[in-house]
Amino acid sequence: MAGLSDAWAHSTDAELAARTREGDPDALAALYERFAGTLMRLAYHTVGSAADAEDVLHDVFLGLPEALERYEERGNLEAWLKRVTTRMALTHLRSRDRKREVAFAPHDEPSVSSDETAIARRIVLARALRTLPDSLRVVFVLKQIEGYTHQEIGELLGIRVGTSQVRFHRAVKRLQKLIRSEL
Amino acid sequence: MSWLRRHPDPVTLERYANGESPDGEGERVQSHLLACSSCRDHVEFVRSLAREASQLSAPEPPTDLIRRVVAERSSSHGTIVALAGPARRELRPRRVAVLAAVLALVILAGILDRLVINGWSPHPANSSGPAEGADCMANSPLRQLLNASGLLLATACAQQATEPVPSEPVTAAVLDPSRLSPVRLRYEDRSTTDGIVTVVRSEEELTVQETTFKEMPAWRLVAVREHRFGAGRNFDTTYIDRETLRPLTTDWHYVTCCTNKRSHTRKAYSADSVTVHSSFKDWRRDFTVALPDSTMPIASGTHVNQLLVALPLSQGWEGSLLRLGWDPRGEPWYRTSLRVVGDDKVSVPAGTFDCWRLESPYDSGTIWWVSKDQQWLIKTWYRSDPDYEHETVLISAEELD
Repeated sequence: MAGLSDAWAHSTDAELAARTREGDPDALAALYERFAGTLMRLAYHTVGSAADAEDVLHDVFLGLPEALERYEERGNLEAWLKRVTTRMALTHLRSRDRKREVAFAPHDEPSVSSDETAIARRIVLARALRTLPDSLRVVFVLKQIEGYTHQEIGELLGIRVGTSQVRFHRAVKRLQKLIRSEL
Repeated sequence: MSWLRRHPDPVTLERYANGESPDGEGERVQSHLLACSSCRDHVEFVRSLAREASQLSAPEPPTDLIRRVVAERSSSHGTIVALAGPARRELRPRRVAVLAAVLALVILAGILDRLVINGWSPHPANSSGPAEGADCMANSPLRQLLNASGLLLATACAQQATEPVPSEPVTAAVLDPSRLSPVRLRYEDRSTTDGIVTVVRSEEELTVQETTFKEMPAWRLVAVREHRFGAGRNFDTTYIDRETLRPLTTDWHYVTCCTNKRSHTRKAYSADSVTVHSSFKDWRRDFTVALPDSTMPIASGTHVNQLLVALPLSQGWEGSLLRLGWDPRGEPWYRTSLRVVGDDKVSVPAGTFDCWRLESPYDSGTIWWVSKDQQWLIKTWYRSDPDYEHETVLISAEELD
């Protein structure tokens, strides 16, 4: 992996984007090395499954050179990639909902903490998050994990700010109920 | 009551907790919190959620994924292709328009009590038969087929708006089991989203064969889906009663390609419920869901395609379908409806077919094309927002002995 991207370790995001757009596979690999962790995290919490998150990540990077034609280099590349990943994750959710019944597939529980209570709370939160309906979980993830404002969430999901706030509230309410019943 | 005494609504508190209160509101909330422990608790809970959520772990991105992507891009397998689909349309307004139009027609035609999209209100026991030529109401083969099969397919036929629909089940003898036949169908899924034009290299092979299940005549439907780029496989085996087309049991497996992790879901159907068992490594979940109507089992996964084969499709036909799934609202089952809205000649890799075109107005504007002869599913298409479209196409069909 490192061998593919060593040449680009000191390049700026804009440089990598430009070379990726031109079809340079090393530049694409460098972008992956630089952003895959962040994007995987976003995809994973949005779709709720490691396997689906890998699919999302794969699709994003597979079409990235072409998609970068639409990147206008005015903003932050990472933010743009997160928007693209979010939209891809949403389409996977829609596809998943319609195509098959989904077995609840657990994933690794959080494991790094010196505080047992915190561990327990995070395990419970992780489980509770997975049980949320997709529409609520997506808003919660974008708000509380990714730090988007409701305005940004509204633009990303094509919903009104008020709708985003209400969904967030419903997510909080459900999580509160689930967490309190477990702890 | 002053602001200080009146509790802010939870959405306002959550805005405050996230630092998004507009001018003036934040100060008022803060003043209220000085005197109200319950609101302070809610604010603290929201903030604790943010702290803990930010600490949640996530799997590491696969180290070999980018190599696969690079290899795929450099291959000649058409990974990146341009797709052509129907003209863009705003589905949300359209869906609202369709719903409004359907509702208006229903009310005007006075068929609301017979419309079984929500279905399940009882119908007069002594219903009159259909008018001559009717093909989707009352004692028609469709209704008999559906009731006897237990298909959760309740019909409303616009042409026979005043004809009541009988509620009594029909005998198996009126079924037409020859509509189903042993066959192997292969499909490919494609999608394009947000300017990323992709062939989703997922193929599904569906094999339909006659067999027995617990000594009962049955159809066995086996669907194997190969996820793109070797990410994993799904195996779905469903047994359905050969005379009623009711699902008996479904086994769904997912196996990841590289770590060989397996996820399994099994559904066992009884007359009025379905019992679900799911497992993944050491995680288990078991529950039973009551069916909304004991006469109508659920169409699940690959089963849906075979229901299309059995239906007496014609121009104007319309029916509802109950499906077991994980609806975004959190319901374990949901209804969708299909109606024949026209016919088209459709070209897919498997050939060119004269097809009925069906729409599913409650299913985000999905279009289904079903061949007129064997009623195989030839193609589906949907666009759920301006930047996403998805299609499934038949790539081969083989009739089996």
